[in-house]
Amino acid sequence: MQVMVKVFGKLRHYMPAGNSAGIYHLSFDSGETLEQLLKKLPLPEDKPYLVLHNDNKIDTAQFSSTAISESDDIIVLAPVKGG
Amino acid sequence: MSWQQQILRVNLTTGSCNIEPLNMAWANEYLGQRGLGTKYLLEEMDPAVDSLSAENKLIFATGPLTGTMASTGGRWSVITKGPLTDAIACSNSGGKFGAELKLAGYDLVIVEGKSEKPVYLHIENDKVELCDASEVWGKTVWETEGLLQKKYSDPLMRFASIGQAGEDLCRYACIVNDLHRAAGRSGVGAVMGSKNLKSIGVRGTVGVKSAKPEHFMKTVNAVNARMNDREGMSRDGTLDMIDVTNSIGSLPTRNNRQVRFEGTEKLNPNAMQTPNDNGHTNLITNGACFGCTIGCGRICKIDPTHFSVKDKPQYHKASGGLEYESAYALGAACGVDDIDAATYAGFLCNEYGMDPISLGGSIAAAMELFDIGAITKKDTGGIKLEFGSAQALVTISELTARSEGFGKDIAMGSKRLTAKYGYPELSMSVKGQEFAGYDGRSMQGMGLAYATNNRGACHMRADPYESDFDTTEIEGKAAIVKNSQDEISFIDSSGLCLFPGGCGWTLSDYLELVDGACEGNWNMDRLKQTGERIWNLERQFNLLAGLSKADDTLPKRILEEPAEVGIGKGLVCRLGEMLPEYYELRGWDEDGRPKADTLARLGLN
Repeated sequence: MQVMVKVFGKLRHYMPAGNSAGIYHLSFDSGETLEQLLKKLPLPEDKPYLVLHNDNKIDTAQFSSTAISESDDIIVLAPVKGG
Repeated sequence: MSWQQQILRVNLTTGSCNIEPLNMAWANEYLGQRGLGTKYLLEEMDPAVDSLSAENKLIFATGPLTGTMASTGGRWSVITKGPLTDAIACSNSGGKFGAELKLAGYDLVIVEGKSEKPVYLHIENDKVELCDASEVWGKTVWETEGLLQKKYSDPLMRFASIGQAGEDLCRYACIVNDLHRAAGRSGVGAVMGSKNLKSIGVRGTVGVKSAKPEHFMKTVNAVNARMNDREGMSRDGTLDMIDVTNSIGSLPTRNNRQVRFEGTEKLNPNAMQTPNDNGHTNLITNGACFGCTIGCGRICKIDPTHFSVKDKPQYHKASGGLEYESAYALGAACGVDDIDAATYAGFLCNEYGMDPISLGGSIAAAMELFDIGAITKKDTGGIKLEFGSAQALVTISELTARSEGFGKDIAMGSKRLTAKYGYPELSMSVKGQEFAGYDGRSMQGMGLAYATNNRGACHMRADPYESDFDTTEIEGKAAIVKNSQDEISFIDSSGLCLFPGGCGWTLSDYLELVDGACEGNWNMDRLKQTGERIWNLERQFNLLAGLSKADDTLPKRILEEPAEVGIGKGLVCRLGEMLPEYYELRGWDEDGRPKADTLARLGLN
């Protein structure tokens, strides 16, 4: 199964080159959690980020208990400022 | 040192230009740029004067770090009473003009009075003259710079000019320097126009000295090394924000009717960097201001086959492109997803001298008036002013730039425009200044920051971002807004840019640079107290100008209509709960007036 994950803001800099849209299709197995899915992305360990799952903000503590499905809308954002 | 310790006073009524010593006691209390300019303005002028009268003063101010080796040390400000807000106006710009002014030997240029005929000011170190501007009056910013540059045959001469919008007293006219950087907000360009001052051209070669040169250069290198998170800003500019705000539901869309725009993918960094069907790519390269090691500026080209420019080869060249705020205001706020149309409207802002945020906000308000039938094609001169119409955006932007037809109404700003047609609640503004690209329902701290900002709605005078992205709960927001307002007041007075703060610097890095450049000892307590003093000084200006607690508010839409999606779904801005706590933290009474002991503590009594 696959799910689409969007990576926006400064985090895009940490993603593999050649994908300026920041949209990734990640494979996952039945029963996988958000925590396991996010480990498939090279997100920086020392930078904070925010995760939206079907338009709900998910706290880090909830990653391991959040189940995922193919139709999910998952967005990973870097908290930025100014502009 | 790092202050030049002198100011240039230009009286346009008498034609005199005099160099005076800087009041160093004030420099030590208000640092420079925003703080020092406001101090001079309040000391020398009654805040109740008409902003477009000869009695208003216009101050061009550098900071102690402007023109130094410090990264981003090219910032300068214009301080005056703003015609958009009738409040204190302080508009900050980058480019190279500010550094050149400092290198010519001036901390401030104070312009007073009004010239009988159009003039421009020519500065070459201590040689200063007012010159007849009849050859450039009525010309665009770009034409003016070109003509004056040619006249002086000096490619290093820098200019800050108004276009026709400033001459025609558009309420949000800006002062444009270096072709596409601007002191953009609150209508400072209209004040310049009201004085018949077209441009300031400056060349400076006297240099800048820091108080502790060895310490300063060590600090410059050390803090540069700490700016270790700037790649994203260099690559995508501030436009990076548009996917973030859209995702969380904080991208004001169609005059804040919505908080998410379905056309974002056509305006975002990916759209800007990807060839379109004609093989044309909007982004050409990035650009940097004086001394900047980030380079967030966008240098862009409009597709020459686009309807807006296909018969206008003068717009086929590269120039300053969309940044987050202009993409929001000229795009999402108007429901327009055409990146070339929005880029063209942005070019017009630079060319004619208009603030793109207020232009977009005013057009969005007019589009809503059109949508509800409050105005018709009869009012607009035949323009179908519908949300989403790129053609309407282009046409009305051209008319506003030239102050023609319905463009004259758009040039009033959304507050006066919506009041004229009987729907003042449709102006998405605070104190008359249009919102920046954030919604106060999903970002509660930003709502409070908009409402309390001394110069009206603005995203650059407080830093509630991290907290707002973290939670919509309001606990602690008042303190975050208050404290960051004070810290930013200090940074805005230093000559440095705020963006290093998002690229790795902390407040201590700014402090170290100021301490290395300036005389005396600068520590964190002094930094925060200086910032708080500046904020309260601006508040004093506004109270004397006739503003009150009633002006610390938000449009009904943000206070009463819940957001429909995003992290703020179901929420309105809880300003009424946050404001009393904010006043208390500020040491103000319940009417928002600084208490006597607050003023005494800050040396403002």
